[in-house]
Amino acid sequence: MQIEKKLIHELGQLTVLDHENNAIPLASLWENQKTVLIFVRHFG
Amino acid sequence: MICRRQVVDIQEQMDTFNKMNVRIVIIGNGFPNFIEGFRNDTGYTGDLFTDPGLKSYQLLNFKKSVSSLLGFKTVKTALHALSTGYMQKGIQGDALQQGGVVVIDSAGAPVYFYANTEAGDHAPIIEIIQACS
Repeated sequence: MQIEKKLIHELGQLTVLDHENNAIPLASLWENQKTVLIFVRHFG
Repeated sequence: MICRRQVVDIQEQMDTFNKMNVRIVIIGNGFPNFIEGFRNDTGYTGDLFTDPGLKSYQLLNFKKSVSSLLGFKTVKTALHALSTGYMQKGIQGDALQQGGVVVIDSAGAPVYFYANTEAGDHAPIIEIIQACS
């Protein structure tokens, strides 16, 4: 399955939380280098 | 039992990713206060965030269903995880939510995508490394 760059752009607009509850824009994660995002099922 | 094993696999390859100048980011979906516990349990040293609202999971169309928990691979992987000491403890997050992997280059283009089909199914580490090289 492949996804389009447009979807990555939309993904980049979303935020995730760090351990101190700060909202981090997803796009900031890959702006400087190739990035592997691993979405895990849960913290279990 | 299962995502923990995947995280350990990733951690074992952290030097490889560092040498390739690739950033590793794990995103979970529990509460932020579980992040440090996850780090302690897995030994994972890379970036770690959470999306309790599951918006990113939904955008990427990762599966969410009861049936995805009950496939053959789940049983097989559970047995492997058990034999290697990675059984699931308490679940922090949505137990029905599947995950996956996206590799994105610095121009914001996707170079690899993998959506887990069921619990215990995840992107082979070798495929992730190949996508990064």
